[in-house]
Amino acid sequence: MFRRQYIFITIFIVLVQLFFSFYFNSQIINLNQRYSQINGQIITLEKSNQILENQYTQATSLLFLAQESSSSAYFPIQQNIDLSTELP
Amino acid sequence: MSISNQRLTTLSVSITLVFSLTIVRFFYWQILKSPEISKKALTQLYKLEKLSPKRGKIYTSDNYPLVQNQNIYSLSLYKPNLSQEPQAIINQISQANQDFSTKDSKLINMFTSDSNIKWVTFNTNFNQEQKDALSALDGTTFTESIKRFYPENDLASNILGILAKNNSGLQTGYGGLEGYYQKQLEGKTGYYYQAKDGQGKPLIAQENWLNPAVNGRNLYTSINRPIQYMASTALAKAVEKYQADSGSITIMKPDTGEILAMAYYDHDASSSASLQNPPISKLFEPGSIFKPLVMSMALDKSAISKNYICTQCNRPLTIGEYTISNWNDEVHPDSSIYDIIKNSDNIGMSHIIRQLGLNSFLDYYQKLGLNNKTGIDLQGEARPLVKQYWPEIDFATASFGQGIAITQIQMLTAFNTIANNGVYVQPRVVNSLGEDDKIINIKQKKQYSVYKPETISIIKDVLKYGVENGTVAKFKPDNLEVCAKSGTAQVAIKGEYADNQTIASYIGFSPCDKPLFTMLVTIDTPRTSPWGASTAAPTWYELANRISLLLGIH
Repeated sequence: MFRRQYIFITIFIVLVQLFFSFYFNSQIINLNQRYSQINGQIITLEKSNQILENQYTQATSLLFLAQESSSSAYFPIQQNIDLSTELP
Repeated sequence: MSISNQRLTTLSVSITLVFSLTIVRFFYWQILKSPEISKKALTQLYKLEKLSPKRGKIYTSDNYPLVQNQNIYSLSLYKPNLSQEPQAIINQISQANQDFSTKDSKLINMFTSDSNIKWVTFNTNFNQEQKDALSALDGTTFTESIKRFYPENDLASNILGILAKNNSGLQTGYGGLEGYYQKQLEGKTGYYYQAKDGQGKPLIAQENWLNPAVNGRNLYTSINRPIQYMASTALAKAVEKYQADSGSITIMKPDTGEILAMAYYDHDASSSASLQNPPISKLFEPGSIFKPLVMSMALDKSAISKNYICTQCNRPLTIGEYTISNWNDEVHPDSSIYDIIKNSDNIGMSHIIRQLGLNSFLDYYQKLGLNNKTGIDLQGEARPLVKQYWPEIDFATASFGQGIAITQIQMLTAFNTIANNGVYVQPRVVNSLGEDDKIINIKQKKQYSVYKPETISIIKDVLKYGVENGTVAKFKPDNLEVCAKSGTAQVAIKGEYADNQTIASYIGFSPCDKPLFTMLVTIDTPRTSPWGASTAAPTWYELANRISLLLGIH
């Protein structure tokens, strides 16, 4: 009887250990995966941020504005605007 | 002993033996071989990763970035891994990047025609979008690198310098700000010693060592973007209009020495133009724009007074075998200091420098910083030629800026002393360095008095008189007060002055009392007219008028 109790306790401890081991291992794997994902996202965001920053500065550059504001870029308004009509 | 007992004993002995052997083996691996194996395990588990810092950006005075960073990718192809014919892959790449087939035509030919070539890395750079589109193709590998991005294209490229690979293959700044501030801009490489699993994914449960990268510092310059833009466009227009070889414009803030703009335009500009910055790197003979400096020296030293009259100005001056005459061979008898500057009288200036004396001249020459580099924070500044011996003729011609060789930045800084009430200030481009959220201001290094305020008051009157009564008066807008001087210097080639080559220049500041800018315009070898008064001066006034509107002088 006494020996059976020992065997039961030993088996129980081994099972508990196995359970904790699997549980925390999966936690570590999940955390690792999440960490890699977030890291990847940060790098992607930084790169897109840089691309957007470059596009923005280029679009606000004096060179670009000078090109865009040249008279050839404009065209006369063809239609007559009737200012007498009241807006609803 | 029964058979069963014998078997039990044999089994016990065997098990004990096996366990003993296992324990011995464990002892061998875990105790004796432990250090060696631990080391091997660490090298397999841990990987050292290099963390590249971001290179600092360069900003104008309105916090607009003139230089930023850009991720670019180079493409490599490995033939055995290609899922399609090489030519089909090349066609797809050419569709994604138009430059590819022209820029890498040789490599493409070699790769597609030679079956022995298995691996190739192309020279064409791909952007993120192109890389994303092509990454799906089997056998393609992209390598990331950082390139500089210039939102204003080549604006101020002569000031900025370039980023290129050095002999060790590392990216390094050359010329201008990139070269001068290389240490500050490059930052510090970081290292990450990190545990990784078999697939190379990081294991955060393990202990990791991180020495983070320190990003490069940003440079906040005094470059005024609209002024730099106006100077660049006005200069390009002037060089073409006067059929010149090249030209330069440098504009300085008088009280601080801050460079507001520094433009250079070469008619035959090559791709290496950004490494050239003649305003700081090329020596020239300043010519008549040097005269106000010498006259100020003589006034300051009381060698002449405000009422000085040149009684010997009625004839050319002969020194040994040389004769000094005026640009138009005219003489101006009994000229005052006002007339000497207005007429740009070489004879009058030669007499004034003789009154001053060589020692006093050299003393002022040194105080004006003409013996040394100005120390401007741009890489590539040239050292001026310093004469050890001063024959009488050289001393006389120095009064009108011939026979001395200095840089444009030296000339501008020396002339700026007049604008800044007699105080010399060292020129500079960068005002502060930015590190994350911290701004480190750069202190003014050199600042000292050269001329007395009384001298400045007289020379300003003289310059103003010269502008309002000289040939350049027609270019001056009515509402603009200007103190300036024109110059036309001959160009010495192999010890002799060339007949058909001049450097036309115009230097001055506005307004005269409390100037907001000092500007030097030089036009190298103008062919429509060799004179500074008819080429550099109109450019100066056109630009000064626009700068005045911008700075609110009117």
